[in-house]
Amino acid sequence: MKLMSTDWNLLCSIQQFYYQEARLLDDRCYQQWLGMIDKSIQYSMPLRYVPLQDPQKQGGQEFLAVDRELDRAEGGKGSPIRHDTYMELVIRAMRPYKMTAWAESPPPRTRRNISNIEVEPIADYEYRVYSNFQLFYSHNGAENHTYSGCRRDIIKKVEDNFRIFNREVITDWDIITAPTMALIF
Amino acid sequence: MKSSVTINKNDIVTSAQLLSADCSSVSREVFNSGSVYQREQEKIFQKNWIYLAHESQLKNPGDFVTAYMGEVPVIVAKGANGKVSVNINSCSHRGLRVCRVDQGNAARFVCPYHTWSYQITGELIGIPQQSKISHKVDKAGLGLKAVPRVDSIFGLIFGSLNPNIEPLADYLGDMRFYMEAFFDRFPGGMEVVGPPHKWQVNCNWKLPVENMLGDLGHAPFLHNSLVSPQSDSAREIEDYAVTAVPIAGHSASLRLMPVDSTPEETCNIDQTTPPILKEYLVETQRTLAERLTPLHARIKGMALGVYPNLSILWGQSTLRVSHPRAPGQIEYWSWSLVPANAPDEIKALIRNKYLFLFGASGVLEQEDSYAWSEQFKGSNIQYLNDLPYYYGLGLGEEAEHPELPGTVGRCYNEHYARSFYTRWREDMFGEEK
Repeated sequence: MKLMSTDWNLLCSIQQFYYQEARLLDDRCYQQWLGMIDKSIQYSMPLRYVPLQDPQKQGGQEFLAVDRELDRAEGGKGSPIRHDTYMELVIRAMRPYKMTAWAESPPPRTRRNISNIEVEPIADYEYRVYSNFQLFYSHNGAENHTYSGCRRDIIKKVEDNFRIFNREVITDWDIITAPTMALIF
Repeated sequence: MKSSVTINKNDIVTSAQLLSADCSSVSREVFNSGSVYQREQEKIFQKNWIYLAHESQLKNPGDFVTAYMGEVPVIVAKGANGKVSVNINSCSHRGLRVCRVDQGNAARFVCPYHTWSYQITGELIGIPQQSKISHKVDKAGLGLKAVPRVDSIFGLIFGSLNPNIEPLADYLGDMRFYMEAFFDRFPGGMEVVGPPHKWQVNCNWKLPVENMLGDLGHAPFLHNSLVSPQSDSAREIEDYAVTAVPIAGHSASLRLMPVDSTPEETCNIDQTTPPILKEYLVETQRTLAERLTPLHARIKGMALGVYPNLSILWGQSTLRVSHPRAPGQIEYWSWSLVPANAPDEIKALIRNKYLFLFGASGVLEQEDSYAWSEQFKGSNIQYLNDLPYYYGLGLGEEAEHPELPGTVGRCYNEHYARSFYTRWREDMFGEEK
């Protein structure tokens, strides 16, 4: 088992960081949110699909490993759902401020619930943080969707604040039943 | 108010209730009617060549992927002899799917219910219950139902449930010219990267198809937040873009660049293209006229559509299929396409561009999905059943072209869609004649 932090002050401050992030995004303060991520950020979301299970691996943990179902970008291989750098995130974050960003104009209503936060210290002032999310998305009248998944972040304490350096979002869908995965999770 | 369309043996509507003679008027019921939708499953998806998979997904014997022909689930598999066979994914005994995954390499498929087992090429090989019954079951007649016709071109594997369909090459006709310009642009052709993105959109299956047959009219407007109508690229489209319909139902949209254009002007690059990708695309462009023809080399492509439901976006390098699920629902499958022989870093850059603009999280895709689902809502306003949609832009202005095969229309001419619905009408109502 990985050694997770039980330092209450650390856990509490990271938890508050995530709650603030969720509040900014639900309040549509996307420009402020950009201040919470580092310019070197890698923001990815593997494609989740259903590969054939290997009968030779029955009985072992590898047989069920979630990782088998994830298609990530590895060089020119792989076709993940998201493979964003800071530049793509800036464009995504700035789009909704335009009247003609038709998919978000008028804007959808969102509510992010962040939970199951676990903090694994990996270097001085650097942490791997595990969290789950439920994102409620409501637009076009009665069109409501719930996104469910988890995040694997690398955050660092820079000066007095945390900043996100890496985020991998893993969703629980095979066939996606929501209209877009272009949101910030 | 008109009552809604029903199509059955006793009370068949005529195509005139849905489409005007020149298809410049298209009824809302073409999109929302359950009867039309049911008829499409037979008359469209069981009668035509349907795109299934790319050869690069089936490299070794035993490799398989699952796919759909309309609503019919199929397994596309490479047998021990290297031949691709396509079978319907439903057990002969009680109908369960014998393959419940997206892809893999297998020796056989097993039905979970009673463990009837099949070769991946469809032959029934095991009935465990048989050992305790006295009469012998004739396994030969109980294999998975085979899709009668399978053929491929440019690495694209198509199947047809219609045993009498014309050969794929004839079905495509001069569409091959435009497909060549895309698929043979790079020495070594194109390959698919990774499994497809799959997501539901609450729209009719024909809207995405129509969009990529040649709807150049939406790009700088629906996508205005990212593509300005005043940009150089939008102006280039207004100046040089055409849609070419080689056979009704298929279409290519492209900019036919002037003869004296430079390779930089003719290949699909813009100010955001990373330098190494730019260099690769320009170098490929330099040898294109020799490898194909000078005419192919002047084509700066935008989209290709193969009837009924395959679409290709050229500059964004994606292959997509609109699978019908209900009058107002599709399952959209979208693949990344890259030049098979390109260096890894080039493949990555082409894939990354696609992922940002299109696919499940694409910034342009989200706007298209939004527009398509809004169109379905509009199609459901029964009160407006006698007010068809206007498909008349550029009516009659399309014509033969001195250089390009097919009927060619300028930038915003909607003839690509009128041709699509003409073909659709023939399939759906052919017996009227």
